[in-house]
Amino acid sequence: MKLLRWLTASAAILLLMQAGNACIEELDLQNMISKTDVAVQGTITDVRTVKYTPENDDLLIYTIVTIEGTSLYDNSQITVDAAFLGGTFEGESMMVTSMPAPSEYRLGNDVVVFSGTVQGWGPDIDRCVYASMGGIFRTIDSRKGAVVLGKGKGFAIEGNQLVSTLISNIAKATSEAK
Amino acid sequence: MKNILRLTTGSLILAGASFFVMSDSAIGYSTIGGSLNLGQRDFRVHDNFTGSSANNNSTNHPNWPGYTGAELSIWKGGAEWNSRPHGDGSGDSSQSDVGSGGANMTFFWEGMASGIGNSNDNIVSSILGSSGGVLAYCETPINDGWRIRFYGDAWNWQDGPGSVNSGMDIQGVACHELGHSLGLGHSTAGGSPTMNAYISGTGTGQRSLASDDIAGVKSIYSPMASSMPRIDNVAVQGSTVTITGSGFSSSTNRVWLMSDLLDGGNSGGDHATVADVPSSNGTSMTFQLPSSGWESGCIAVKRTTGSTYSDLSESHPFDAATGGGGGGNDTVALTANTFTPSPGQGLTFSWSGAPISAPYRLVYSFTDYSPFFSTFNGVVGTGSNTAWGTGSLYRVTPNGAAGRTVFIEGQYISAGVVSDSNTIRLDVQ
Repeated sequence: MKLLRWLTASAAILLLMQAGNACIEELDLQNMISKTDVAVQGTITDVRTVKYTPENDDLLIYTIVTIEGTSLYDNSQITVDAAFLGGTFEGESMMVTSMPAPSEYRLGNDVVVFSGTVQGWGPDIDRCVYASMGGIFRTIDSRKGAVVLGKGKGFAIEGNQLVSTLISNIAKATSEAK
Repeated sequence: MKNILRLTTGSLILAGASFFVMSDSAIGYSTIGGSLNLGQRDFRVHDNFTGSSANNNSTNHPNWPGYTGAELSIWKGGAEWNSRPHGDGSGDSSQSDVGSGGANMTFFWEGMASGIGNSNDNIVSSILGSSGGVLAYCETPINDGWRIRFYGDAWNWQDGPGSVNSGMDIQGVACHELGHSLGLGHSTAGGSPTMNAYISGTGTGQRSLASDDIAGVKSIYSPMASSMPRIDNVAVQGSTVTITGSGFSSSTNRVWLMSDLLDGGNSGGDHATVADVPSSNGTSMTFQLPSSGWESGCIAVKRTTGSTYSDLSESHPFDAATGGGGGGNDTVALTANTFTPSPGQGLTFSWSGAPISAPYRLVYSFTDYSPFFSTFNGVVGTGSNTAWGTGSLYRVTPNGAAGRTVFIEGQYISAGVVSDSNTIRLDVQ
């Protein structure tokens, strides 16, 4: 069990070191819940990129990840397409400091993603990975169940915790908000 | 046995990785790879912030001549990374000195840009649309330049200049993003350093570098060399400028002035350079200001012969708006019928927004070997504005101007007050 904790902690630290460089507001779980309408725990089943040029602006490249899994807000089965700025489209790259680390959004990754709606991101996108790298968290299996890896102070999920605990915390935060 | 071996090997790999992580964690700062050479130290602002509170500071400060609003906020955000305090370091009530980097690293403020530029044009601007929870971002890699975008209409941006009690502080976020642009990633150090992964509160705390941020910029650019040129004072008498300080080359130096060209493309962002300025004692130098092509704002000295990070001084305030020559407030809109004339071709300059019926003077400077100014200054023509504050002037492009870059600016005097136009650049064929 100690070995598992140690491995989990080490993996979390390694992930934190690989995380992107978003400039985001300080978020806690309650704040994140208030700004998103979807939180999904599941598997990334598709990763693709699109390009879009807003009026009077320059070309933007977005990465869209598809997550199939369970809503942490209402326990329903959902599939979510959520985007963040940055990526490579047909050989053309747009790398920005707000992107999650590539290791976070690989095909097949088990993740928790918080998502909200967006406007003005082009015809292919209507929702985002909220706060970009601040809205995607890896999960790993343990004997007690899935564990979501926190990203430290200032993030919606600060420390490692069982997904079941996260669901409880979300329910608690939601009821407190009411 | 195989399982034990695998477990042991895996543990050792993770332990090794954790060792390095712990080392970095103790340091706090991280780097994203790359650094800015001396040709990439410029930064400009395309001020397309739409929120009223992003541009409601209209108070000038002598340490930051010529700029207010979001532009001033972003200028200060960059100057905080500079090797030494900017001028006397004043101008921000939330910190004692602006300019705390202590490394061989100085951003050079180039004022405004006409557009957002390309991804390596070193321009800060805002972008419209949903932010998706992100405040701002910096486009990388940085070696060939960068671009920073604030989500302009998604947040309640504040230009200060003092403490900010609501919304988000432009200066603090600019300081953070410009930290990315010079090569820093996020810090895991405690105490809310500027390069923290998230912005605390309104972000005013991110205006001031913490010791971990300073350690980070020093790790990329090395601690400031004692021999680095230093500007203590800049005195302007008419069009003669005397800089005193230390570390100047006894042979030749180049003086960097802010360019007066409002350019949003790749060709923009180049400082106006006065070349071949000697300093016999290494502590003072005197040069003549070109008639046009530069703007009040800031000034720096680079030793001509060197190209290392420590051959460029910190930036220093420079206000010569009333000192003759260029500078000024750019309140008059000057244009020409062509910007790429051929020798012998007719040129018509026209302007609007000038003092009514007041005298005008169109002046020029040109570069012998672009982009360096020599002392080639002169007057294109003089006369009086119309009763509508407009004017025009026809001249034939001299044959001797072939192959030269010419900067032309209008000066307008009314009741003893000198106003001026934007600078236009002619690339003579």
